[in-house]
This record gives sequence, structure tokens and C-alpha cells, in this order.
Amino acid sequence: MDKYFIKRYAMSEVGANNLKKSIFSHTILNLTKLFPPFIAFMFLFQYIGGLEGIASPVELTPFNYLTIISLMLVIMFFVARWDYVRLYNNVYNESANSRIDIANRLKKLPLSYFGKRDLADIAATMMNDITLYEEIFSHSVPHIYATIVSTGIISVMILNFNWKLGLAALWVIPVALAIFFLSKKKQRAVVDEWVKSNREVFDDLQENIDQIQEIKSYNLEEESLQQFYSKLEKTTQSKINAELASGLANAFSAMFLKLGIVTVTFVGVQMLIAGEINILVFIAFLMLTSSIYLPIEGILTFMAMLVMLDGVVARIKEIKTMPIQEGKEEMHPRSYDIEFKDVVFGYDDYSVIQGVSFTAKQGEVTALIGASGSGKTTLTKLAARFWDIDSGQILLGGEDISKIDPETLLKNFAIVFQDVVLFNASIRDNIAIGKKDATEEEILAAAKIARCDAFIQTMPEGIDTIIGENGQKLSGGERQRISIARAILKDAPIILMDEATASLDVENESLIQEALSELIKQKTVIVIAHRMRTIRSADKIVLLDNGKIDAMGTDEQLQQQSELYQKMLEKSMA
Amino acid sequence: MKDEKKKESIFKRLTPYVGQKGYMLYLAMALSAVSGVMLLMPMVFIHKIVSSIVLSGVVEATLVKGNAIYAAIFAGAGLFLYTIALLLSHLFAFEVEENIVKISVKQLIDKPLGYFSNRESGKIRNIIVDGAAQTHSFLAHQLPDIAMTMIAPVVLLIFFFVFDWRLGLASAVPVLLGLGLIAGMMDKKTKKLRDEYFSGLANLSAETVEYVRGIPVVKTFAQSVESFERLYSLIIDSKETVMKMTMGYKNKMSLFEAASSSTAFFLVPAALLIIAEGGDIRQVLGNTVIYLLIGPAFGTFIMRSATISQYTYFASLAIDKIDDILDYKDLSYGQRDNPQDGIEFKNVSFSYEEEQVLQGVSFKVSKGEIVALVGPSGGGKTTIARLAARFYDVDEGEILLGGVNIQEYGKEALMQRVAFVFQNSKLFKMSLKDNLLIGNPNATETDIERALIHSGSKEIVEPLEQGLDTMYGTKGTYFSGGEAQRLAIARAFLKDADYIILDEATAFADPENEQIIQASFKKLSHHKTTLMIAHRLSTVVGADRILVVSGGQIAEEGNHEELLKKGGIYKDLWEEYQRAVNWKLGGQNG
Repeated sequence: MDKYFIKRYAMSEVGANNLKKSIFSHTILNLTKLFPPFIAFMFLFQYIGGLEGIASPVELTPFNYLTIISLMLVIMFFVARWDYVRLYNNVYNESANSRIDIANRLKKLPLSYFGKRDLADIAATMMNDITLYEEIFSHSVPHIYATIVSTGIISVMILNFNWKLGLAALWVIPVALAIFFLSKKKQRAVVDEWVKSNREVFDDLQENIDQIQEIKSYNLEEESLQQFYSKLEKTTQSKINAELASGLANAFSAMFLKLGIVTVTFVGVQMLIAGEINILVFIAFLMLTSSIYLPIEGILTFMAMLVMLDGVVARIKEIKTMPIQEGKEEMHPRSYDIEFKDVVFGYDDYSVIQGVSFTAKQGEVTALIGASGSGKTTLTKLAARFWDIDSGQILLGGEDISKIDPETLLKNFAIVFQDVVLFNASIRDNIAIGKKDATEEEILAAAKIARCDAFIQTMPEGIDTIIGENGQKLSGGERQRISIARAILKDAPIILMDEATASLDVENESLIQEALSELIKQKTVIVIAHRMRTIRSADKIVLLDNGKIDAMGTDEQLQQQSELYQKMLEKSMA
Repeated sequence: MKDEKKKESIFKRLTPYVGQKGYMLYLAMALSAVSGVMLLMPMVFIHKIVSSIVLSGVVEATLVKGNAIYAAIFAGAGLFLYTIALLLSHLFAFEVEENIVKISVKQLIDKPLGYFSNRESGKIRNIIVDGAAQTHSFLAHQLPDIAMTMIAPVVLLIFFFVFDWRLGLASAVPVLLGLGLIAGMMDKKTKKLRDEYFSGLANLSAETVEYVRGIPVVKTFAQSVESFERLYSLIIDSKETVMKMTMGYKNKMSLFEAASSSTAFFLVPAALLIIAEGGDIRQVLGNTVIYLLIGPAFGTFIMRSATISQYTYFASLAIDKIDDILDYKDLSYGQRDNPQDGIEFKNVSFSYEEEQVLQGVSFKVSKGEIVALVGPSGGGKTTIARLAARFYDVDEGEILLGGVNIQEYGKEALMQRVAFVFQNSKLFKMSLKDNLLIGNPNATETDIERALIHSGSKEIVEPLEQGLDTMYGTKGTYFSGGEAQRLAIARAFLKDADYIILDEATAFADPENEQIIQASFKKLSHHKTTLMIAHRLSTVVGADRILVVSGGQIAEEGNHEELLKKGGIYKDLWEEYQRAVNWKLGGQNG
């Protein structure tokens, strides 16, 4: 049973076990709800029996009744409380655990995942999903299972008491549930359909917002609005269809339940006339038909939630099954040479790197050049295991990086690319992330070497200024220098950098260049190059063309070997 | 004003979104109320059967069967009506949901461009979409139930008078107790806890986004444990708040659970008392039966009403958020069209919220002139360019196009004559050719070719297998920021506007092309008014005039030679640039 819950609801083992417990206590609670009808029947049996001359099994005084009722009320209260505490404890613990579990997984995803813009969206949706999950689990899931169990128990009791009348009352339940479950499959398909079209419409909305400058500049407002409206209307229509389908199925099964009253009455009258039952039994069953179907109707109204739950569970499972990267948490590279051996790599369905081999030596600058799309950036990122390659090997000091935990591997790297991620915290904290337990002196020194001190002084609260969500308050060049300060503080043996990072801030370009020059001293450096002039003195230049190496060597060697290189050089001199 | 609005009932606040289908709501509520009554009727018929047996002691088969069939018919019909009511309320709710999105998006698209420059598109989207969805579930599911809850007391009263008010009163005890408990649960303290919980949830989801966004960094710096711990403690905190809130209801909810279904516990003692007082036993038993039967049905009613206040709260919270995010002053436009000749800033001051960005900026760009804005980041260059494209309105002073205040032009007329290309230019998900044709639907092949060359985009398109027919955004055909910007410049050229405002930020990151593009610019700006934010000084050397913007003011003005002679900020910038140009990477190690 635990295994079923774990699989069915993407639960933890503890969660599954707790769900089982909740179902148990909820079943007990459902059974205590039989107390009031029990008292009612006793009363009716005793008094109607007295009138009709049918002996009642027990004769109670009014005082007895009061005592029993009070006792039952107290028991019901405590059972309800017991169930309540257990249920909510379990639900909230389980959802906190799910959140923690997912957060844990997210940080093990390959770095390449984080370039995609919708990842933050996924994360937010996920947190909302779990809130929904929480709601569904606190209200419906234990309730449904418990109702099935307690209705089962009650049914057995009823059938045992009088199987003929029992059947007359109960036959509608399996039929109604069958209709319900048969339609659920169909409903899910319809619901999945509108969830998909819904997502498309709202991606479209976001795209419109992102393109607002273009839309306004070319007076396309009305056109985009109409396009969006018609897509929205289409989605609404498919939602209406889904709602219609589920509403009708629900109503049909609920109406079916009501036939129970008729069959009980008809069968009961026949049996009464035939003398098979007495009048008390007949009344009891009649009254039963007014309440026995209520819990089943309850299940039907939870239908929508269940359909929603399937979607939520599917999304949670999706995150739980994303490929995470793991590996040894210890490494002992012989050196800080990085060696690419016949590396082949492609995104989804088109290949980017088609068999590349070269070595970036420790203490040397290796520059990657080539037209955009030739694979420079991809190669650099592969060295830090942003993705895992399709074939070949990448070695760091002789160790295969695909066997090393990314976080351990990354301890050896400092990465300075164009996209800088900053936190909504102080400048100090943003720099300090470069090194655990960095001292104040170290942070200030790194800020100084990275030429951050000038702009820090102009900030209202200096280095303690909070820089806003993703560092909104800073310019591109300032952000870049913070990222260099981080890298300097980290003092890693290997530097991956994009040369264009230097040219983001005109007035400080040479400052950033100086900072970068400081950073790369005595390191293994791989640089993505844009300007020929900047990298002509590199120790090794790797010229890429369409994911393959066209030529490599020093500037001089390349001038002799490569036509492409000569062309590029000529162009840059023009 | 705004606070007042927030106090209005949820229905009033939804009125603007109701549209043509408001009647559906009333119909749904009416049907739901009728169905509520019909669903009680089977109990009456069963009661008829039972009490006839109790009163007479005889079973009359036809009467019994007839009543049973009536009971089933009423039950079925009641459910049928309830289903219709739910369908109607859903239709209505879909209409409202759609209208909320439509109206909000319409308002959004009419916002001045400045509105978008410091707001995240994802956040705007989520607030509108989630808000509409919240309102939907409130309208679709809760409203019909509200109607049922409202008629329940009336029906109960009727039952009081038709049968025995003393027994009726006893059977109503659980219902009243339940309602009292629900009311009691919404006291100030729990309301505060609830607000705390929901703001905690919002906080948690914001932190999650920050956490996820930061993962690459914390991973690179081997600090994922710490960042994880921050999120972890937030998750635990939010769990503890909700536990505290939920456990605060512990006793009340358990009492509610125990009492709401226990009609018999109150009815039986009352019946015993009436019998002891000498009431007619048969009569009392018959009446007890009817109350026993309807008791559980009322229990269901109050259970439903328990959730209503929660959903009402969600719905109004959602509308608040939408109102808040769309709360921004709209620009008003005049009727004028066809601006002529030059841009002039006259003593312009401007601030973003509290922060003063420009102070008394005055300059003029004449027709045929290229004016470059240079200066330190944060100095105000971008703001000047944005003001010229009317992203915002100035606080003080005036911006004139052809001698007329920019605010007097119609929106479309203005946009037709002004072309601008800023950083983060976007291409649409269509073919490159269609992307360019947006600039000018009548452009010829030669026009396009020329625009590609002048903007330096030719070499972006050439290597593509399908050339200009390449669909942007499919399989790997995404361009770098710089490439997208160059294509956007090509598009702007095709537009052939009189005023060109652009930010060369990433477009010419590749200095190899700079010369070519410089020359093209010169040609294109002929007879036009061009304002350009320059990041690389090589771009501005050829400009007719250079404005050095620093500290929100025009610090220096003149052409390249003049400014060099002046020996001020520009000269420093130029020297800095010269140093930067000669930078070399590598070689310093060995």
C-alpha cells in the first residue's frame, strides 16, 4: 500500500505511511458518525415497537439516553480532534518535505538548465502546486479512501442484517462509482488539453509583454491584442467543453444514486407484505437511504480536485525525474590542464560540437575564436560540466570530469561571462559569495582589485548598499566588476571568461581589463574571444568553424596554416 | 480612494468584468436555491411513507410506491437543476475570467513604455492570470452554494411551522452551533495569522525564484548548502505558521465535526421530553422522523458555507493584486500628426519615483544631424533617449518635436515618425523576412538588402541555410543579443522614420564591422534626426555633435575635436578608451 501511494502521489515513504495512518483515523471518525443514527434507531425502535407490539432489543430510560448521548458526543469530539491533528500534521510536514526535496534536486540539475528563462517559472509553479497539493490532501484524499473503507464496512453490516434490502439499497453505489471512474479518464484527457492550451496562451501573453517596445514602436497594439483575444477565446471554449463533460458525468452518477430510494421502497413493500420483514426494518432502511449516499456524493464533488491532483502529481514527478548530475565529491587532479578528447555534443536534436580535441595548459591563455554559432561558448561551458557530453572525454588534470560532482568540480573554476547573476543583498554579500568565510580584509581587497571601490563609494550606504532584485540598481559594467571581484576572491586555478565582458562599460573599460589581467595571472585560462587584436598574443588560439577545429596554434602558426584565420585578420585590419 | 475601493464588496468590484452575461449569475443562484428545496423533498416523501405507517400502523403498497417514485423524481430533478446552476455559474465565471484577462491586458498594452522598463514580465503575467483564475473558482463553485446557504434558514423556518417547532428547534441546534463556530473562527487573531500565512506563502514563492535563479552562482562558488539552508528555514517557518493557525482551530473544528452531523443527539432528548410531557406518541415519532431525515442535509449546507468566506477572501486578494500592478499613470496624447524637424529638450527634469535622474537638460538635435550621448553609466543617457521616445513624461520643462510639445502628438502618429532601438531588442517568432517587413510592409527586396547591409546584419543572415525565410525561434535559430539588435536596427531602417533613437550597446560589440556601420549610419541619417547612446567612443568620433551626460546634466557639448581640446570629461574618456583598445590578453604569463 505504501508503495502504491509513493508512486501514485509522488510521496515520500514517511508521507505514504502517514497517509495510511490518516486514512485509518478518518475511517474511525466516519464510523463514529454512525452514533447519531444509532441513537435515532434505538429510540424509534423502542417507541414504534412499543406501539406495534414488536419487542425492542433494549429498553432505555430517558436518563440512559442522555448518558449515552453525552458519552458519544465526547468520544466523537476526541476522535475528531485526534484525526484533525494527525491529518494536518501529516499534510503540512509532507508538503514541507516535498518542497525541501525539490529544492534539493533543483540544485543538482546541470547548470545548463538555468539558462532557460522559464526555470524560475517552473520553480514558482512548483511552490504553488505544492500549496494545491496541500489543499487536496488535507481535504479530499484521506476522506475518499476513508469513505470507501467505512462505506464498505457499513455495507457489510447492512448486507449481514438483511441482504435483500441491503442489495436494493447498495446496488447503485458501484454503478455510480463506475460511471465516475470511467468518465475520469476521458475528463483527464480534456483537462490536459486545456491545461496545455492555457499555458500556450499565457506564454503568448508574456511574449507580448516582452516585446512591448516593438509592438508600440510599430503600432501593432491592436493587432497583437486581437491575436491574443482570439487565442484566449479558443482556450475558454475548450475549458467550457471540459467543464461540461465533467459536470454532466458527475450529475449523471449522482442522479443514479437516487434510484436507491425507489428500489428499497419497492423491494421493502413486497417483503413487508410477504411477511419477510417487520415494519421497523422497513422504516430503518427507508431512513438509511437518506444518508447512506451522502458520503458517496461527497466523493463525486471532490472529482474536480482529483483530476487536478493528477496534473499536480505529474508536474512534481517531472521535476523529480529531471536528470541530476552527481559524482565523486573528492578529486585530485595532477595538474590544471584541461584536455578535450574527441568531444561531441548537441542540444536536443542538432549537433553543436563535432569532434573537438585540444588541451588548455596550466598557466597559459587559450583563446577560442570563430564566428558566432561556431561553438566557442558551448565548449567553454562543457569544460565546467554545464552539460554532459555525448561522446569523447574531458579531463581535468587527468580526471574525467563526468565522474565528478559538479559542485566539487566547480571549486577549481572561476567563471566570468556576460550574464551576471546578482542577489537582492548588499554589495558585500554579493562579493562574499566568492569565498566561504571570507574576512572583511579579503572582501575589500577583492573589491579593490576588481576596481569596484570607485562606484561603491558613490553608493548611499557604500558596500552595505542593497542592490535590488538581480542587482537592478547597478550598470552592466558595475555588475561585471562585482562578478570579477567574486572570482578574485575565489582564487580558483582555472578561469573561463568571455572577452566581451570587458567592453560593457565605456568609461571603465580599461579598469575592467586591468582587473581581468589581475585575475588571470598564473592561471589556466580559456577565453571566448571576439576581437582579434585582444587575443593575438595568446599562448594558443583555437579557431573554430561549425563545431570543428579549423586550426590551432600561436598567431604566427595560424597565419601560415589557416586561410580562414588570414581572412578574419584582414577583415579586422580594414 | 484606493482603500475605500478595497472595502467594497467583491461583487461590486467584479461588476466591470461581468459583461453581457450577468443574468447567468442570477439564474444560477435562483436555480441553485430551487434545487436546494427540491433536494429536501425526497425527505418529505420518505417521511410521508414512514409517518403514515407510524400513524396508522398499516402499509398501503400503492401509496408507499407512489411516494418513493416522487422522492426519486424530486431528487433527480433537484440534482439536475443544481447541475444546470453549476454549469451556468461556470459559464459566467469563464466569461468573467476571460474579461479580467482581456481588460487587464488591454490596460497593460496601453501603459506607457516606461511602465515596462522596471517590471518583470513574468510577474505581471502571473498576477493577471492567477488573479483571473482565483476569481473563476470563487464564482464558479462558491456562488451557487451561497444561494443555497441563504435559503437554508428560510426552508428551516418553514419546516418548523409545518411540523413541530419544538423538535425543529432541537434539530437546528447542530446547524446553529456549526454556524456559530465558523463565525467564531474568523476572529481578529486568526485573521492576522491567516494574512501572515498567505504573505508567507507569497514570500516563499518569491524566495524560490531567487533561489533557483541563484543556483548557478552558488554552485559555482560551492555554497549551495548555505543558500539551500536559507530556503529551508523559510519553508520550515511557513510550515510552522500554518500549523500554528490550523492547530488554533483544533478544538473548534473538532466540535464542529462532531456536532454538525449529530441531529439525533438533540432531537431524541427533545422528543423524549415532549413524550414525557404527555405529547401524542405517534405524532411525535412521525415528526421526529422528518427532522432526522433533513438534519444531515442541513449539515451539508453549512459545510459548504464554511469555505465561502475563504474563497471570497482569495478572490478579493487577487483583484487587489491586479489593481495594484496596473496602478500607473497613463499618458494622454494629443491629435497632432506629422512632426517635422529636430528634437529639442528645454530645461528638462525627470525623476524615477524618488530618485532625480535629470536636472535642467537642454539641447537640440536638428534635422540631418547625428548627436551622440556619451558619459558614465547611471549618468542619464538612457533616460534622455527614452524621454525622446516618450517612454515617460517629463516632470519639468518640455520636449519639442518640430517645435511642438511631444505630448500634443497622437500616439500612432508619433510612433510612425519615431524609430527606436534599445538594448534587449526582440524579434517576433516569425520568419526573419516578416520580422523586417514589420518595419515597412511595402519594402522591396532591394530595400531589405540595403537595410541588412547598413545595419551590419548581412553576415548574420548569410550563413543561415534558409536565409531570410528562417523562422526565428525554431531549433537553435536564436541570436545573441547583439545579433538580434542589429536585425532590429535593420527593421528600424526600413521604417524610414524621421527620428531615430538608438542605443548601440551590444549591436557593434564586434569592432571589425564598426567602420562599415559608421559609414552606413552617416548615409541613413541624411535628412533625419538621430540621437544615439554610444558605449564605445569609436562610434561617436564621426558624430556631428557629442553630448557628454554626467550626473543628470549635460556636462560638455561639441564635436570630437572640440571636446578633446576642452580637456574635460570627454578627454578623460577618450584616453581611457585608447588604453582599452590596446589591451591584450595572454602573453603576460610567459
